[in-house]
Amino acid sequence: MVNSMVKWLERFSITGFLNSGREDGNMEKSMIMGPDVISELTPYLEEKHISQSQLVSIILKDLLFAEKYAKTNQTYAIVEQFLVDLYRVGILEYKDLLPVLGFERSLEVTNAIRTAKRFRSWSEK
Amino acid sequence: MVREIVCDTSAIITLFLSCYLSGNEDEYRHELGQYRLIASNLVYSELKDFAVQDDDLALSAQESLSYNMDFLSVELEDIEQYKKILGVVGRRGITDCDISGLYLSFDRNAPFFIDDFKAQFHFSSFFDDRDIFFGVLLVCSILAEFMGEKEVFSFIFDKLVPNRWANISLRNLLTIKHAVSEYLTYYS
Repeated sequence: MVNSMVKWLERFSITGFLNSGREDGNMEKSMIMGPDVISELTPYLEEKHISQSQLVSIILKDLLFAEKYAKTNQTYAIVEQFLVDLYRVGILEYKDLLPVLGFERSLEVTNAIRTAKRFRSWSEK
Repeated sequence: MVREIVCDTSAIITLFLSCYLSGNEDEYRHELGQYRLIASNLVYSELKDFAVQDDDLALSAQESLSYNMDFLSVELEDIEQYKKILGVVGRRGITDCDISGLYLSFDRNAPFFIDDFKAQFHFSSFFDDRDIFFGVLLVCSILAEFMGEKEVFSFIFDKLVPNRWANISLRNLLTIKHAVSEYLTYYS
């Protein structure tokens, strides 16, 4: 599953910008986002009741966050956010994070999500 | 109802810096008043050390020391026992102060707030049925009482993070982002 997501990111031209070797990490490359690209993910999205526009919104927020706040390695910031967002909405599982994030980081990010969920439950009591 | 919570130095600094940066100290303090803050005597010593420095974090430490907070003693032998249980004897990174907060939270059966991400990860992985949270999430919860979701998100990343963690690593920045996003998504 994660491989198809990363391939999909490549189709998005994100990896073109990621692999462009720009040390300043500026996101100047344009992104081409056609409906045919997004429709590839439709089966996964429908299963989790996520609309295509919600997915696009997630991606744009991740890109903006990386551009605004990640001072180094924006490439990695985009990929990690995207994978974690898909994990949060239930499209990816823990094992899907492992090939890209590695086990240590996968444990950390899933702990962060679990902590936030647990805190929400506690604060709503 | 006032809820008892235990805080580490890192979380206390985050809490009081956010109060100062929020631009609405009265509202913030009103919401903070919903909690009874408890910390260890080791935290008190750390806050006093912070308070004499010359930066915003020092101001936050001074504010916290003048706040009505309970500082409780933790015996050294209790700390040593927990260090052994947690397998952190002789290891760098997790301090006696962190452990004293964890001990107090178990002793008082109250949630523990800590913004040392490495320690929080270790503690919550080890005691996965316990309430061991990031202080920054408590800040989100307080702010969400008088700010909208987007405003809270902006506050955390435009104001709090740059002032609280000036040279934050990408790893910790993203850890905060994931946790804050998860909390705010379902809060709204």
